[in-house]
Amino acid sequence: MIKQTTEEKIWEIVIYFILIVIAIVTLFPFLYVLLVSVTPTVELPNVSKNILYFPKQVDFTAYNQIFQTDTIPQGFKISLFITVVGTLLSLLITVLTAYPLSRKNLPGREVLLFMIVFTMLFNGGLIPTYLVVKSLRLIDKIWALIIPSLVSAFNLIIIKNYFLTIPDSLEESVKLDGANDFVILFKIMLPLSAPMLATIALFYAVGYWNSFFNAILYINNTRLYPLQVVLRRILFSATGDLILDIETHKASMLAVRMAVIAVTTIPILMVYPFLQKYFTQGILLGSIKE
Amino acid sequence: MRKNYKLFLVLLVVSFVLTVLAGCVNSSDKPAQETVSDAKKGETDSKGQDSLAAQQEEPYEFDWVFAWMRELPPENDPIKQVIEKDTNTKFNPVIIPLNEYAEKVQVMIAGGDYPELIQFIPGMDWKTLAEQGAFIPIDELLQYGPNLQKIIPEENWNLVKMKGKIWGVPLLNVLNPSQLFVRLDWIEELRLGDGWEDKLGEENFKTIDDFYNVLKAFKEHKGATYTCSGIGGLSPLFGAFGVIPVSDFYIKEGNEVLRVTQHPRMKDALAWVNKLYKEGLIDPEFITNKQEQLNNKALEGKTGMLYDIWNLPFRLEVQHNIKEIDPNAKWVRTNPPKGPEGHVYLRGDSRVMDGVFMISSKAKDPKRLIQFLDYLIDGKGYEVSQYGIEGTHFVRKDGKIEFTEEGKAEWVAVYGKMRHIWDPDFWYAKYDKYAENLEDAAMENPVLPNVAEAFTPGPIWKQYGADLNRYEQEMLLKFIIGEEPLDKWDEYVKTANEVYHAQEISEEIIEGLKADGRLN
Repeated sequence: MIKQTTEEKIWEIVIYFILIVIAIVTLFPFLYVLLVSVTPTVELPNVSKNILYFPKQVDFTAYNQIFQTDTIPQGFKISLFITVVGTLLSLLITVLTAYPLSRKNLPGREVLLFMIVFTMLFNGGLIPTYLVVKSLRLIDKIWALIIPSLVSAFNLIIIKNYFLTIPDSLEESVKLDGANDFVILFKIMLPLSAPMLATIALFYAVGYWNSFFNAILYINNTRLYPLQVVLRRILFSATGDLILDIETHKASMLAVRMAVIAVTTIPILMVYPFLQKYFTQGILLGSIKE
Repeated sequence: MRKNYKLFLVLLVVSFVLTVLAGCVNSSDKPAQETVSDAKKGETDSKGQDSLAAQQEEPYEFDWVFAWMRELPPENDPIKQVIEKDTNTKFNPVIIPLNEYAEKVQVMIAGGDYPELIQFIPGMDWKTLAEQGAFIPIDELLQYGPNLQKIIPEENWNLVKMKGKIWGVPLLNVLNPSQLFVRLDWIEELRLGDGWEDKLGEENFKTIDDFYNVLKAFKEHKGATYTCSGIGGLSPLFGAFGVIPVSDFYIKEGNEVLRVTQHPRMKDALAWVNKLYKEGLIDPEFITNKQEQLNNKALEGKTGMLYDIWNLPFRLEVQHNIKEIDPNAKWVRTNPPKGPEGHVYLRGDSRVMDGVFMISSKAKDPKRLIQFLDYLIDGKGYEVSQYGIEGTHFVRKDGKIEFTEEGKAEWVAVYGKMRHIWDPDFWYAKYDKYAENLEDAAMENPVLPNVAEAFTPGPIWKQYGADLNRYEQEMLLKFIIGEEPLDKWDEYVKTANEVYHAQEISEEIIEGLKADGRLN
């Protein structure tokens, strides 16, 4: 162990302090949401008086109200499907596009890249996109929630640039051993890119999980609505409109709103710990000497 | 080089496979749907001998798009089946949440083949689309909708007139959501008034002074104010002067059509409201309050008079257990105060509320759609679409209605679009004692009609209208809170006319109303 100087120690304390503050700031909203969602209605006025109010009693009425109907499990199934299938397909297609683009000997590479970057800045707009989806006969199909957003140009560029950082010599050496492009991609490049793939997978998964407007736009059949759309309905039906069904609205709006937020965020939050181990993994450990 | 080619080929193949995959899912989806609907068809055929369905005609198939933001109907929704059987139709409901409704409908229409029957909600521009030929005028088709003609009043038909033609079927809603509420227990405790308080809800405050005294006493003894959300929530106060603090609001007096924001009585109203504000009787946060704040202020006793949605007592008692916070609290509905010239208005009339059903110009047989709506507005169709099926969703016991467990589901009213009216039997069964507020809301609502409601915007309005509205609202607010003295009233009217073209806008709007056939 190298002995730390006082200065280093102070720095360490400062750094830890800053990190802890950031952690608290990040965690605070989650805690707030969870607490409010289980606060009984009698205690709700206290919520606005305190920064963080711990209810004396825990009350799950708001959650009961949300899970009252079968539309939630149905929406959950749809969301799960588009998240899992969508993320896998997106990763596959994005990698298959990014890898050739990262090879400097690909003819027309610049032009292709330009065309891809172009879509990051300009797009056809709402109605033309709708028309394309419609003419592909995807309206009212679950695939309309996946295919139009299959490849994100931004993620593609990230993957491409990551591939570029992997030394050419590595590829050359494998080629000498007789590997073809697919072997190189799947056996060499991808295993080396685990942290990057985990990040991109997360981007895609969160994107699919949160997909909302596409569903509104392309889906007419209410049975195909993903969780976000279904939950938002509950959110709005909980706000006082003209007709209110007494039986189903015993919880207060605020608690319901928070419970909805909890239900939408927690499942996708649970993905993070599983991907985290890839973030810390070392890259290119001992694979090359230069 | 060759290897790159290979890769390219593989990419091509993958994308091809994906497309095919998508195609497969499409085609495998379809037969499933068809079998379901076939099964349904069989069911309807076997049952539907005694109704309209017994006619020789084929069931009329159409898509029906409307806004609904609550629970969605289940898969084999029995109410839909009854409606389909009775009207000999097969409709495919496209149910879109309210917030994204306008955008989605616009995209659908732009996309070319849009549903035959489309609800337009307030704020959506059907007029431009109608001019472009997306919809058909229905004047001649109305003969197939005798109930529509009978039940929907003239004022509502006026809203769907353009260039002398009727372009859609307006939805009817006589249940007004907003009410004026007061703490009755405080009035009793503080011994306010001289008997009128016993009749709250039936009789107006005799004068605006009564109203003022109540607020003053609340302020002095309870530290409570009048509160609401937004400038429109002060409507009952302005109503006492026969005006409403809303832009593009026109009233007819004699032969004249006047813009209320420039009306001399508006100045009187502002003077009075400003006096209340200065004395701290109006919540200084009235402009920024949201629903949640209103709830909290009512719960904490920070307000004694509140302009809010009709179900306030329900929210406070059931959702917030107000009895545990303040066992004496008693919120009751009250009528707005009567002004010096005898004006009493709760707010501006808003008939546009639920919107209008437009019929696509591509509809195969528009007459059938009118018949469909005609069924929904009255009799069995009305009942089924509002309250569900008798026996399944509700039962009648000695002349009284009782909802079953199934009937309590939110989705039951999903097709009840055509008409919201006061049905005592049903509403009391549904809301118990809270229905009283709804009854009051439906029965005695002094509202000021806006002759220019949902007018057709002309070129001048399109250019300056939004700015004028903003300016007027800003100035009204400044007059209320005293940031601008009322001496500047004339200057305000002058600026509105000269800078924001208020005069020309008024002329244009009135001419537009005449051209649309709404005003002589």
